[in-house]
Amino acid sequence: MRIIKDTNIQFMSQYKMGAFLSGTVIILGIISLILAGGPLLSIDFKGGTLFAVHFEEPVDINEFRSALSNVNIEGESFDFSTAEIKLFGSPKDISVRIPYMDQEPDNFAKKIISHLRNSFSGKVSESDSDFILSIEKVGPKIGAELSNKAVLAIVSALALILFYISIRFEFNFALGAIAALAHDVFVTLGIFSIMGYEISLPIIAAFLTIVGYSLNDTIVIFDRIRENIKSMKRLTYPEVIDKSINDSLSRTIVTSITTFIVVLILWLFGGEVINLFAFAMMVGVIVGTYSSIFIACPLVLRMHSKSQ
Amino acid sequence: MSKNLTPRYIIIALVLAWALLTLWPSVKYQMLSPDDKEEMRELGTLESLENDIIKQGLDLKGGIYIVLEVDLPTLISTLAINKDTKFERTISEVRNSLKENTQQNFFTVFANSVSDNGLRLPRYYDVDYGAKPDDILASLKEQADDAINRVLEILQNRVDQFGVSEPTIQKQGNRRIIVELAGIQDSDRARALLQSTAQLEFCLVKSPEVTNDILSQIDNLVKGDEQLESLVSSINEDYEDDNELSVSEDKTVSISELFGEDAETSKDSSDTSVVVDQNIFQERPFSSLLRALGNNIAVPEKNLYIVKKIINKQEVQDKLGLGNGQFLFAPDAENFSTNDGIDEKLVYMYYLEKDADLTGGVIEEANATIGGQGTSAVGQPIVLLDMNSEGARTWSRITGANIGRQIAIVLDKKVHMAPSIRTKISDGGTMIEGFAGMDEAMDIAIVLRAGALPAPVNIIEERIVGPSLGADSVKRGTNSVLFGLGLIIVFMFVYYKLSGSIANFALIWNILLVLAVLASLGATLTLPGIAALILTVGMSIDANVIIFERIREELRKGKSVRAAIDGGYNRALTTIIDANVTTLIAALVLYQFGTGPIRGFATVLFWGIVISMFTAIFVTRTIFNSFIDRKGLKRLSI
Repeated sequence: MRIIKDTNIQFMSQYKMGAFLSGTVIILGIISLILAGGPLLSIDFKGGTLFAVHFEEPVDINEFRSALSNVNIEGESFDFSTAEIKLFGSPKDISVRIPYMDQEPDNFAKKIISHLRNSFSGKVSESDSDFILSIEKVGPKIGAELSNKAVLAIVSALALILFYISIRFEFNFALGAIAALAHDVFVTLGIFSIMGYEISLPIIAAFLTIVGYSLNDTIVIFDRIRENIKSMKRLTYPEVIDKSINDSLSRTIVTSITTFIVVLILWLFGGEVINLFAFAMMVGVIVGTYSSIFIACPLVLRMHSKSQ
Repeated sequence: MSKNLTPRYIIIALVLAWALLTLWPSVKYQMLSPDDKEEMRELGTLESLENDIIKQGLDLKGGIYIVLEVDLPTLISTLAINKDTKFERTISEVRNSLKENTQQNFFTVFANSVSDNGLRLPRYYDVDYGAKPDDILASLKEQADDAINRVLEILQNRVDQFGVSEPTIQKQGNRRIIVELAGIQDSDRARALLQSTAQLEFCLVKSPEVTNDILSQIDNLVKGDEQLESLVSSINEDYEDDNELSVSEDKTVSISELFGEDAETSKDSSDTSVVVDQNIFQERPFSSLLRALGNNIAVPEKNLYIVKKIINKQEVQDKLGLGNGQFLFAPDAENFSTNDGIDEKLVYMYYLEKDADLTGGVIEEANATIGGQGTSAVGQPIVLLDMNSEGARTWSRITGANIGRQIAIVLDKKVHMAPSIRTKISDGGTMIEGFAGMDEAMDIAIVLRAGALPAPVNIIEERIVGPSLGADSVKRGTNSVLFGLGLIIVFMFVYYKLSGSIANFALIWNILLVLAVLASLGATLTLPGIAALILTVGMSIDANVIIFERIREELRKGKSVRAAIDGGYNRALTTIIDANVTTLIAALVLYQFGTGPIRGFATVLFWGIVISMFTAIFVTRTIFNSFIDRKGLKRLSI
């Protein structure tokens, strides 16, 4: 069976369409990022408290919110109704995110949870282990450290990869590949911002994996270009690139489909915890495949023609 | 290529045998019923089995992950002698500065603050004559490093006695300790166990006269301070709004009445409010927040916050410092009913001598038990203490000299009980009561036995995963892997036929080998790790797709099966290596910078890719070659 028969698509003449498409998505993402005041960061980076609880029957979010409007902790009353409250996978599960407060009462998440237990006494399981799904608390210090580390991780990964490709190919190729990667990260970041999804530690891991995947894809095509340049001296540079993309198109499609299938399944059935991670990967697979052809290759071509 | 394939067979057979052997304990463990496990635990064989299986991360198993940081300002302050207000001010300055900019190094800030305030360090630290401030700072740094190691040791001790299976306690950097307790659900208990400095102190309770005096001094301070006064009246208004409370008659004795002052005002106001006395509030704003219980003072739980806020005011603290006293509270609120049947939750508050007469360092043995007949705590959980001979002597002297006075037993700045001393205690045996339950008594006995922490520790990161969420993640994660795997296997078979099956065979081995490596490394499988496993599946298939597409190309050029396979593999090899190395770089960087779950992801991704090069290239090639050798294939099913 073959999905892709011998093709001869002129990708390089289509680069304007690619530039337009990517440009639009990135600009929309940037607008959304500006409107939101930067990417939406999770408590991993900002510090704060996040907890999720499970009810025996569905609970109305507004009712839940009003229950949080007056929580008494050690004599001081708190209003948590402005906290970020949302469903956690199912209508019976609710997660609450509370930004870091300057003088937090000790272990206050547990106290809010016991307040909730009293407020919804009929709908809550007797045992805490069935009621409490998770509690996460990150101090602002750790949060700041983690964001520094995350930035450092992405930058050093990109630098190392740039170095590797410069050695194995040419510097032009390395620049093309890095541009494609930056494109992928920006597009995913923009889509996250548009969707209102927040960036947590696992999402950074997903970004780095996208970087790895997209590169994988780019390098397979680059490899073909390197090979075809040697064997097909009669063709022009754009023709060599087009031929290389067409040669590897079948592999590109098959691999993208299989990888997409696995992350799609992860997204659909992997559970709430891994959901956003899988979403980022799904976007990454599509964007990574696209950018290898429409961003990395045209850039290599442009730089090649400039240098001549 | 008609090479001898035997060495290849041997390598593959050895690797596969190793994988099966390594995975066997995990399979065996999965098949054990809870009863079998219990039996093996008794025989002591379970632990060695558990060492050989794939460990599940907290996100899968449920449990608690806590990062603790040693409270350096407090440690440095504890180490100091002859502390004065100038010193305390410097420490609190450092504390605030660290809070504002969390990235600063404590010792840099401390050194700056010391020189800004003109603090002469040799005055506060017991050092050799003529020691330079820099030497003192260096020695403090050393003591701080030493403190973290002791904290680590003590926490290890405590957790071991607590009885958790496979606890991990490790140092991170110079100041932090990461504790992972799998399967623990009661986070309050775990926190108490870890955070308790186990600072046991015996402090005399000040006499009612002295207490009364300090209360009226605070009253005057509050009256003079608009900010405080408005705080108190705001809480007062709150209660006025609260109908249930304000309609009732005031039968509670106000604190001022107890000590014989303003009794009249108190009576006049009896019909206004229970918790805050309206009229006496004008005169004695602080005392009006308190209640009298027998000879002791108690604070209604609703007033606790404001009372603590007033006590923590700098002016109040200065007053307390002059009187060499401190206010401490009981660990929990207790229910008291007033005459008209209204329940009120009250917390005992004590005015104590600032300096402890005896501390927990003298404790030799601590055991939790139930109070017997003839004691004040019949049927209640108690902790029995035994002191060393030096401690027993001091204890005997203190109890002998203060018969009739109350002495507070203070654990981690909370007053567990404050009995009146009836007789001199000479054998060092002492009993602590006032626990919420047997669990708490047992935990406190543990922390007392394991010893006090040299410095308090703060929880700076905490992640608790409930067992139901963990179980859900395992189930869904496993199902997704199996489902995704199933679809890929079908796809590969349909698309590449027999060759696809060879790739599928390699793929399954890839997964088994990754799991075997995890088991033998003692690495932890986390939820992101499962995601990485799925990604590995994709990468591994990609290698075979690249190879197969190449082989198809070669076949289309009219090459023989053997030549096509050779050509396909050779040409695909560099592509696969180049592509995989870049992903390996990403995995290594992630491993380097990540902690916990992210590391789990990086580990699986790394090994997944390395192993995929073995299975997807070496193993599949060997199978192809053996087919060709044996059958002399004319047509390739691809």
